[in-house]
Amino acid sequence: MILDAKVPDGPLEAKWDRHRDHLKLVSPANKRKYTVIVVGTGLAGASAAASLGELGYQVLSFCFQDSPRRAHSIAAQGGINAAKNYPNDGDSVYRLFYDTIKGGDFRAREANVYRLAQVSASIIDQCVAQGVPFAREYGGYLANRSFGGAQVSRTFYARGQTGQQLLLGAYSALMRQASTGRVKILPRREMLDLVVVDGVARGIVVRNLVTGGLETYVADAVCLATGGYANVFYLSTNAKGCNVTAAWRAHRRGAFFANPCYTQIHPTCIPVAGDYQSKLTLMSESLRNDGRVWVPKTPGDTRRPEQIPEAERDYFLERKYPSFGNLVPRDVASRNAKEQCDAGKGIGPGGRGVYLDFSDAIKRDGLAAIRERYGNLFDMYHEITAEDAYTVPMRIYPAPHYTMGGLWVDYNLMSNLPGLFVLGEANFSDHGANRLGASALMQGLADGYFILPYTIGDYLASAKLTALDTDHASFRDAEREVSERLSRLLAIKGKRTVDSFHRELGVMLWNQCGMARNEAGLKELLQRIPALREEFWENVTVPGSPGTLNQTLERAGRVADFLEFAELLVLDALERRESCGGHFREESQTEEGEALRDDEHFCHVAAWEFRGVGETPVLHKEPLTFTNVSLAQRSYK
Amino acid sequence: MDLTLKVWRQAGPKEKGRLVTYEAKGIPEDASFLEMLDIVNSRLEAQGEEPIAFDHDCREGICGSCGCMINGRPHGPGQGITTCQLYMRKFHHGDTIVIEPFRARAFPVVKDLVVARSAFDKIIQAGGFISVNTGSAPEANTIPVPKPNAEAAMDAAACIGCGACVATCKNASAVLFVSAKISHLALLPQGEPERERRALAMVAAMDAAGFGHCSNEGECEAECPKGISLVNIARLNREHLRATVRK
Amino acid sequence: MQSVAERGTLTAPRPAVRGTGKHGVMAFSSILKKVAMALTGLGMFLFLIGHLAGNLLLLKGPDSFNGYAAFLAKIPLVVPVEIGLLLLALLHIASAVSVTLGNWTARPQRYAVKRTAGSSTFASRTMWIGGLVLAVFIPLHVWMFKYGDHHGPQELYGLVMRSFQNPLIAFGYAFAMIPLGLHLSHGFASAFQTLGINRPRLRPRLRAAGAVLGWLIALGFLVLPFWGFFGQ
Repeated sequence: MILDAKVPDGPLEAKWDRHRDHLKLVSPANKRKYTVIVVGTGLAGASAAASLGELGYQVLSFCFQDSPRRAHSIAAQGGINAAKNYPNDGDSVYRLFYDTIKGGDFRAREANVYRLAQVSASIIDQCVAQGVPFAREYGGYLANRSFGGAQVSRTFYARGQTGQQLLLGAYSALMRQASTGRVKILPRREMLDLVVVDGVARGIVVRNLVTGGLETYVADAVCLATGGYANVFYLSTNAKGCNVTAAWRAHRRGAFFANPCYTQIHPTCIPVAGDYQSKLTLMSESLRNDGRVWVPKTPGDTRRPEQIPEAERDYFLERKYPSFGNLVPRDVASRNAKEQCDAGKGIGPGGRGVYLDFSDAIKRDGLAAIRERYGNLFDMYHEITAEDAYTVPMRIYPAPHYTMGGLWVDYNLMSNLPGLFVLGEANFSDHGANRLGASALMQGLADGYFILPYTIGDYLASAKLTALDTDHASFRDAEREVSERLSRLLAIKGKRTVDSFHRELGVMLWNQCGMARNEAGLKELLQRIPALREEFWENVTVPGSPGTLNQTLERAGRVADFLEFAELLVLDALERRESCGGHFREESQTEEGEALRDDEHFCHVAAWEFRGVGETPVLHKEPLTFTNVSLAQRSYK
Repeated sequence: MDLTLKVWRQAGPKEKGRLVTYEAKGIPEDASFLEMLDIVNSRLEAQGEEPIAFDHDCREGICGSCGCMINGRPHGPGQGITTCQLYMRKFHHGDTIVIEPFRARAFPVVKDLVVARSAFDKIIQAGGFISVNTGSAPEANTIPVPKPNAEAAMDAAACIGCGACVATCKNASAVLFVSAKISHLALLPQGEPERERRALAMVAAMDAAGFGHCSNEGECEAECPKGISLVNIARLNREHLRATVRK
Repeated sequence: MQSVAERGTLTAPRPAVRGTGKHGVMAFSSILKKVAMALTGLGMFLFLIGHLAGNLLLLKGPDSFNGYAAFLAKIPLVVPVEIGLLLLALLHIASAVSVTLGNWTARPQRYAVKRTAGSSTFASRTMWIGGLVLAVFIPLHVWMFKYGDHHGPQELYGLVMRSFQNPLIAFGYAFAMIPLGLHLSHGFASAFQTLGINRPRLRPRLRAAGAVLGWLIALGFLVLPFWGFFGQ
């Protein structure tokens, strides 16, 4: 099968405009005849559902949380990029495009990234109009800050709660549509299968998490905005509920999964404190604007940070990357932290941490300024660690944070399954092998507000869809399969808890498929993961019944999918014998230890086709061609 | 540390619930409160017993999912934190901890510590938005907002919708929640055109959901994990009065 | 397991915001009830200040007090003011009953353990009890001193002083001033908050003013029965 990305012809700058000019339209009177399912209510899902409702489509909006407002986009702290050039520092659509594609280590589709940069400015306009309280200057105009991977200030922010404010903006738009009846909100429902009829996505099976009942829904198109899979590592900065199930179920039904090995390990998280730990807490990357990262020069130095004189500290990012310093992209910052810790210079419990020191910034700008910028982050750090970062340097360590891989989509955000659209973190499209800070919010909202509402119309106007109801065999079959799977999980009645399997899987992946990967380790994982999965299906215990709120059953289903998905992630990592962005293969590095791409063999998207659990999936390659940028070795020196 | 937990167990919305005692032994003091519950739950699961159901998601104090009454206080002892941000070092070896769901007529119990807070969504649906369709927004910097107003709007917009205000209020009133959204939008020029409609509709939705009235005691403010101020309630009252007069 | 077909089941678009417009909003929203209570409360608060000032003339002796009573009886404003006060009281009580009953039903199941974060006060928590005591006290008080056994304003001093000789009346009267003080000390600041008059800087001042004024009024009234009982 040849993957057709459907990238429009023409010069890069004109592709999106021309494409929009020629998309088919659904007339206003006909829009209400179409039903669209949107799964997930994060930035991408909420913005898409709201915008589709505004256009007049009938929208069914699903989320597993008790309210759409709780989707994990809410936790994004730092900001959102946009090529507004308000600070007059030379930013432009092209620069944002170039920074993003370079930050992604040239593994993203050029046309998608350019479009992302193009619509970025409209996102800010939309959010301001919704009442998002972005930070402002005294003149009343919008303020910007700088962020990792860029030499201009183009990041808009609302204190350390940008994701929350943007999500509440999208949520309010969604609630407005709910009040008109055009969007129906269906919370506390988890998608457990995609229904495909004659090769076209036509509906979903969900479990009503309150009653435990299975429900099926028919639609003319299905949009997945179900986030990323960083929780495959068990410990990550993601919310506990984040999972791969919706995407994985769609994959099992035929949607290709692209680049699963592209995972982002965020450099500034609070280090692990103990084995009971349930999640890792991110400290916004914006902290690197003012904080300086260092470790003691001598391995095994156990003195307190304030007792280590300046000359005996190694500000390793500033030393190695003089022009970007502490603001190198996330993958570079993370890998360097790991390198220092591997060399025995790590600090804190288990030597798994580096310092992020604000004392110079406090001396320079004053305590009040730092408090205003990062107050809530410092408070959060204090609550968790009982340490005061105003007086003692923070301890940070990398943690899984974001996943660039996801379901394969074309330029219209449609997967290879007609009628299945994938938005936001759940798709693979715009960040290549590494995402820059403040770009996830941008992509989620770009997809939901400004791309999908156009492209879905083109699909609906041209697709020949037959009328269906949930009595159709495909719906009945899908519902039965889901029901059987749930019954099977409940019937095992083994000895081990769901979490113990999840933890074991997470540790395995973190050690051998985390910040650095090699062939031997990956091959070992390909033996160990199926074995763990087998044990799971024989020895897991899931108490309770299916016909009620059963949180263990919810987790069991998610972990079962992670156990299948993890194998694909590892296989993809093994197959990609180059280093790029967040994917670092130890076999492929420069003499200085930097990631070394192999453009000759791996300048492609790896899209995997499911062939059955335990069966080798089929690899489809979408070649990446770059006509406007030259593939350079990334350098932040 | 070893603790005794008295946890509200209720099998379903219509079942009768009761406090059940559990011994939680060997809890690390650096664990969070929810991690403590995780530990207790995994012990229950290992014995094939149903674990304690509780809402939680981000576990970093921003999604607003978690929340229960811990020794009679929403989100437990301490200020400016959610339940997930409460750490066991706040307790002592040998303590008894009573854990109950948030209680209000408008927040019916779903199971154990899980309650339905969809009344909050209904209130926002009534008018907690600015009616701007995607694509119709003007250039962002054509709407200057004085910095103090933007800051005050942000203070109010920080509400996470956890429901602690309702839970702790002796009247189960939701005015702090409503006032946070009203204030956020009333402080911005973008919110001006719908100001009156919003102030009437959101209060009507709040009343219809069965929340109590405000007695101006400030317990909500004291327990709010995001420090939403009572000043917002005064603003809500002002906005509502103004809208009523001008109706 | 249930199955739901959703296609075509959505209702037609309704107006974007329900519950607005001339007829949409309930006649008295929860906030308007509180506003009614605040305005009537503040009205009675003002009256109490005047009432206390007049009553303190008791301390100056029968001539001053009876003169004051005679003056009040002469001016034509008394009856309208009395009707006004009655309306204030009735409206205050009606909104209080409605609000309090609403509050009680808002939490059908009580907590096994409930603690305060320290922001509420004994006064704020006992508003309805104080209100109830005053609702019993005030009619008795009016009945006793306005319609009691005396012969016109010139005799009022004698009636009051005789009544306060009775320990039951004196101490009952004095006792009722405690809930009054509590009620006023929370009610004053609370009323301003309800009326939306509460800037951050104003807030501690209003709270303090409410407590000081409320207790001054209560203490002022408290002096009278004691003076009547012990003083002469």
